[in-house]
Amino acid sequence: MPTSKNRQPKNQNNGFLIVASVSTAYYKSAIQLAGSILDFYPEAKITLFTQPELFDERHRNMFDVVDLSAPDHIRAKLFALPKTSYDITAYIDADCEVRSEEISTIFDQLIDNDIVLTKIRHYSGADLVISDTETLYWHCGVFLYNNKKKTLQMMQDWWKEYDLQISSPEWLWPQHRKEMRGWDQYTFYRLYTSKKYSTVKLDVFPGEDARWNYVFNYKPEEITKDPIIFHYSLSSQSVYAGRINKKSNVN
Amino acid sequence: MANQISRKFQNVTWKNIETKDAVNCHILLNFDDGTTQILKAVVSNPSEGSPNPDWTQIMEEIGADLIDSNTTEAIQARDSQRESDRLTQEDQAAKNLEFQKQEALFSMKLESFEIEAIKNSTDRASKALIRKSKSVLEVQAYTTILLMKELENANKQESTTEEPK
Repeated sequence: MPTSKNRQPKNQNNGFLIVASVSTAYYKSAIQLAGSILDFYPEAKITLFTQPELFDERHRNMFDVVDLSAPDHIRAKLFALPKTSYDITAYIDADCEVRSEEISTIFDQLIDNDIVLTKIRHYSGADLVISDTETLYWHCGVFLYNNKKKTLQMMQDWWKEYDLQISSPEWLWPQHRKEMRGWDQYTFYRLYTSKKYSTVKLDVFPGEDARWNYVFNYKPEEITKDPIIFHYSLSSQSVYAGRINKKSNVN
Repeated sequence: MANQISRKFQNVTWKNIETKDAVNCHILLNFDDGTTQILKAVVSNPSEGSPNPDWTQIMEEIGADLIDSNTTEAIQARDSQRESDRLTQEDQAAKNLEFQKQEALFSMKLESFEIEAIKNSTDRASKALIRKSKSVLEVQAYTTILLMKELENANKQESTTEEPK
């Protein structure tokens, strides 16, 4: 059962969602991320989804909600997303760090959209080609989403569809490359291009979107001001070394 | 067994553009069952007296001028590929270096915030400077500054709570 810590009352019930699973490397990063949010935005509400084996009670006071039901799964974030208790949720990957006071304006960036994300930079390294005519477009490391029924249903389906994607013996999407199997961003692509979610309104963070999710190898010319959220990306070695279940897949 | 119905020389380039005494080529063999075979070969002309029929065919059908230009094009393509490979390697090396640098920076920040005095410090401005640091050196410097401040604060508190003698 989630446990809550009372914070100062807010006009809006908006908050951050951080997920740490599988490895102490992600947990340590998550704590670092939460600390960085609070340093620049002390009133921030943060929910942590993690596993009991990872959680350290000394960190409880950093969080508005601590939920220890996260599965021992590298994509536990997909499990956590629909369970948010906030009106607007800012999901941030655990291997990120906040570097600016402007983080306090993050919830204003949703405007009238249902989901707001940043764009993938094609030079940044990931395999983006879905088919001859399609490529991945949205980076799912940092994004905002509201709590409308349709949006939360989409988040729920993201987890279910990802599970199907990685566990089905046959590749069920022959129009797309099999190499997409492990990518949760590909699952997201399938969902937002589906008829079912055609009414969900997606947009990019206004202004210099890269400032909200500045991946370590982005070109400096992407931004004219310092990043608000810096995305490090942990090495697979450090994630592997910190696994709590030595049979866990870290890729 | 299929019978060969024609043979054709393709991609003919000089083996050595200076001596021009042999060529690299592909020999395309067509058979009467509709199949094709491509062989990679080196054709030379060892003796003026008894010419190699392949060599003669190549010189008649393709000619030295076309082999010259094929060879120049092949050399340019090879050099361009080498340059492209070199740039890719350099780019990858630079990416790896940047990744290692950022990983070291991240580890350093983790270590800094694991120090009790830093973790428990209420000096958010100084902590923000550590968070914003873009290099290991900056993290070290701001960590030291904040530690000194915390030590000073602790000393001040100690002296104000000391009993007057």
